[in-house]
Amino acid sequence: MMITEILLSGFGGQGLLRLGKILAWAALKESKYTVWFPSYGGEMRGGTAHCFVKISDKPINSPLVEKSDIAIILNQPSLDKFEKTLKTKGLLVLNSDLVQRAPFRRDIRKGIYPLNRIARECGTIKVANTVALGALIALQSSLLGPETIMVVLKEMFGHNKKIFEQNLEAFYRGQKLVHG
Amino acid sequence: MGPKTKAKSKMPDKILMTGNEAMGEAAIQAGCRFYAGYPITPQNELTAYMARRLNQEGGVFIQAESELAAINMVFGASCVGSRAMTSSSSPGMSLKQEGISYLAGCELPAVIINVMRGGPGLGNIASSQADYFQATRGGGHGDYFTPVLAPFSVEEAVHLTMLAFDLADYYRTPVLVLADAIIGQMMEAMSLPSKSGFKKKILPKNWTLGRTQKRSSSIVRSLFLKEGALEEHNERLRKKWERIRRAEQRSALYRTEGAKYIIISYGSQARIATVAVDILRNQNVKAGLFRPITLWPYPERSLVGIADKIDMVFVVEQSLGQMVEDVRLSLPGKKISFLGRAGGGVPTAKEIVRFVKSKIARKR
Amino acid sequence: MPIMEHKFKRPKSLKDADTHYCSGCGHGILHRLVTQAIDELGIRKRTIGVAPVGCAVVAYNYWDFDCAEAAHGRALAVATGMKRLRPDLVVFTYQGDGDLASIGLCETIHTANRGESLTCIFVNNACYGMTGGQMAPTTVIGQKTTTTPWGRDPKKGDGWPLKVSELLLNLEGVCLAVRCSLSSPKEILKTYQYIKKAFTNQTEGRGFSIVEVLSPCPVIWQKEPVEAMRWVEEHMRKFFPLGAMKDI
Repeated sequence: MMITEILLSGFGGQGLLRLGKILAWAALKESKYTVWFPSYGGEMRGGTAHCFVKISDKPINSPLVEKSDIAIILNQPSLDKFEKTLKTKGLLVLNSDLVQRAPFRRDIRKGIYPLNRIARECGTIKVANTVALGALIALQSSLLGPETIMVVLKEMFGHNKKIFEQNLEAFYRGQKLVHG
Repeated sequence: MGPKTKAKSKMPDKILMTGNEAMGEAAIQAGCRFYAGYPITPQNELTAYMARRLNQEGGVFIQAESELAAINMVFGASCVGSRAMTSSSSPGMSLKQEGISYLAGCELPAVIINVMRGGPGLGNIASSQADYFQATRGGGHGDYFTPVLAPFSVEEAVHLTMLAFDLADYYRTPVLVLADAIIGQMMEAMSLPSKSGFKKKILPKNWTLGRTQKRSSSIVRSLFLKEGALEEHNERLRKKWERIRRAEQRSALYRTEGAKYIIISYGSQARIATVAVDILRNQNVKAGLFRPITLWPYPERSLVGIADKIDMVFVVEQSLGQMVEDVRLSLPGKKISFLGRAGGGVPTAKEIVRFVKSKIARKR
Repeated sequence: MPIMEHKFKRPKSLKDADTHYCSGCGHGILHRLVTQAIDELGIRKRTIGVAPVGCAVVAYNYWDFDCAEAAHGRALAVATGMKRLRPDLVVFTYQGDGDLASIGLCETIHTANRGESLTCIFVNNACYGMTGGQMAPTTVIGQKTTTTPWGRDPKKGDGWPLKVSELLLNLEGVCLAVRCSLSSPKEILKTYQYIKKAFTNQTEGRGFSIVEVLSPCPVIWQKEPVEAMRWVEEHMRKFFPLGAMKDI
């Protein structure tokens, strides 16, 4: 793997910026180079929020992403905006609970799951992002190790047992969606 | 904030921080104990960071009623000897110019961070480098300059913020850190140095107000009404600017060995230009990057130093052409081409490559 | 043994210098009151005065304690920076009506509202003196200035005289808002007492104190000094009632 460019997009409040940070911290822990770049405008307050993460074996020059290898998309406006920016053979993780149509693209890999429903089963809809993370790590095992992700989850949410356990459960459930 | 644990192996001391937060932490590490600021995107994380950290460090944080109040609070803080800072983004910087002129006139040290966004007017919140003229030509009224430091990574933003405080105290001058929205918002790995690396000895501040020892009354002023007095003051300032101009030029090179073509960019644009250089080199075009770190003083010495072997110079900015004027002043008679985008447009690596190759082809 | 003792001395805080102020100007009296209060409270060596832009811009030529010059209207922001870092100091601003009530009104209101422990001496002479007599926010109705050649007229959009003390008294951070006058020895003595109070409030950390002082500007008003004093008494006081609006 040289460099992986990841887009994460959804409604403000779905935790996409946080999810991007989890990926970046996990990358750092695996001694990889990483850059996280958020959208930071008014869309943070309720509209569509997105961020980009780059993970690489070599130092990263440009922090910007034009086309991504991976897209985690949690709502319809994000699908409309970013489906076309996915590279050929790229990976799309899509939240079927909040989109009204299937992706048009046929040259990509797709993981389409009811992320909201699974999250609710984990105790709160707020962990839909972590369910997506579990699915992503299962679909693209070369990206980051699940153990690394769990260490980061522990560090980020460890101070609150309930939230941590919900996230851990969500992460497992996400992986299970892929592995069955 | 991310996890506190540090990564192992290759990057033992690295942590992840956004540029905005990192500049805040660098200020704290440099001994800044006063910050006043006013909300403006894309630098709000810096203000919030200072609110939290200064409280922990027993310093003073004030959310000011305006940019004008903020810079003048910094003026007051500097008068009583504290390392003091304010930050803003382009529209707010226009308002701060009054205070910066007074700081320069009164020879008060202070650090001002500008996380640039698109203009003119309210513009937008995307990355931009359109405040180059304002930053490097004083910006406010009167004959003065301020050292301007332009970081191109989160780690360099940390180094330069720390250096800014040392330069400010050493020369008794306001110093600008000219970042942009990309540098401010992006998060990447960095480590916190304990010092700025500034090698000169900084003298204790014996000129501050608020007596701590026995002495006669001191005055901080920039008004000199007596005939000839202001000219004398300006002349003294001129000598200071000259000293800074000689001593503080900084720049960096990327793949310039054997280069025939040189791209000149700073800040986040320089990051993107390195990608273009790599692509060009892969296509056997002998391109390299010259990256000014100080925008004032402009690193003309090192630029002139490498210019002999260079056939063509390409200046790339997130503006309609500002730094390019300093390049023209530094390299008279050289063939200089400019590529720029404004209003949030960022020249991409592909655009740079296409531009460079088309200019070379035309010359042939 | 001397029959008479020399009682009326120059305060240590007041330099032995001729001022540049016009004859009959209120600044001379007010400088004396401020410096005398500082001497009497024994705070000279830990006082910083912040001079405004206006006639009193070079007040530091007459005051013998640490001073800074602020940009027009920004004296209270500068003072805030100083006082927050050095609460042990006594910091005061000395500002005119253009500085404090026009270009610096935002700073004035917010500094007062934050309850900064500062002393603000506000010289209200109903005009811009240094720039040659333009309309100030405190110019009274009908008063002729270079920019209201037919007299200030609210109906023409000139606005009404701005009552700063009344404006500030409702703010929680303010502990003293008082309007005084230099128009008679009696009022001068009252002014002195309030200035002292304003400094004591600060040393006791009670909040923001403002002493508004009605002061004559004979040259701009085109009146003899005595006549100018009478004008303060007869005209300015109609618009600007004296007394403590708030004193807690």
